[in-house]
Amino acid sequence: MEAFLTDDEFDLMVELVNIGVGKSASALSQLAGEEVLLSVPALEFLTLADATSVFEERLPALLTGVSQEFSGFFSGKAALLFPESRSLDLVNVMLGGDDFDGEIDAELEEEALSELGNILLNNCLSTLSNILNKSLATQLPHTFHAKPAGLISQLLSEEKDETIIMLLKVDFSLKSRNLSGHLVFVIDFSENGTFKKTLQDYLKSLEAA
Amino acid sequence: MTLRILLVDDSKVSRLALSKALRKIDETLDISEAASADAAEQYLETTTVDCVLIDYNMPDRNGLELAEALFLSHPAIKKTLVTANIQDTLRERALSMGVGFIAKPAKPEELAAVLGA
Repeated sequence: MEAFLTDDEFDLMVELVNIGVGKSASALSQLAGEEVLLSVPALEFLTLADATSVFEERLPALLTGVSQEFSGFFSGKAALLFPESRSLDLVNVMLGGDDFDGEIDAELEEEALSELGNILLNNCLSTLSNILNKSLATQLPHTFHAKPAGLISQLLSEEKDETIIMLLKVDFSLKSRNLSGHLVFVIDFSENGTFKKTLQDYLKSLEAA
Repeated sequence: MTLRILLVDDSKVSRLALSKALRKIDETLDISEAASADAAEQYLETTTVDCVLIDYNMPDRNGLELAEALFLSHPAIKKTLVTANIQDTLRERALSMGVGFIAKPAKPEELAAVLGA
């Protein structure tokens, strides 16, 4: 499946995501007041059926997520996924930790997750956009609760047999809070011709420099 | 004199976080909130503020559209975008309009600079 990108394009994409996620991690670290540990980004091209198996195999049984649709030089959805049991800890992170003196109800919890997704996903997407010098439009964040098997329908507007998903997954964790999550980009590669061209143009510009 | 600030953001959590960060800088600030561009304009019909901190990505109109409208209706109010959309193109567009730009999560020193603290 990696043949959808050349080795150089593949390396470039991993590196771009590394930088973008680094920016998101810096934002999360600022909110949480502690260091955020990141895994190396894993980039895979998957069919719909394979993607569902991969999600079921690697993700917790119940997820809370925030997704954000983006469009421009590449289009799709980015999502931040957490084990559902830990979502309250994230709300605490967003509300400034233990010194939040208000009551956390379901509405505030959803709002906090939505805003956390907005900050982390936009920081990452904007960084990619800035490096490649191409604009991206992002929609409002959307929170959801899902099982891994239902994740694809949350993250794809249309499921077609020929759909190839570019799945980028980065795991991050806040050590002292024993809290970890996943950042996933799902794009339908069959409809993203300009994305490959953008990567090629950027590589050419590096060679010319 | 007490500085009057209007926070415009569709996220209640973001308004809470920003309000808290601002009060850490200056606890005497007079902070009001609006959850949309329309609500902000409605509020400003009857109340004056010194500074408006505006989110970019909002459901009805985006932050720059609101800032543009406020330049016509309230030219004296200082306008600053506070957004997680840190694309250079957006930052440049804001700055060229005379709108300040702060990346979310906002750093205390950047907020202090907006307040002139």
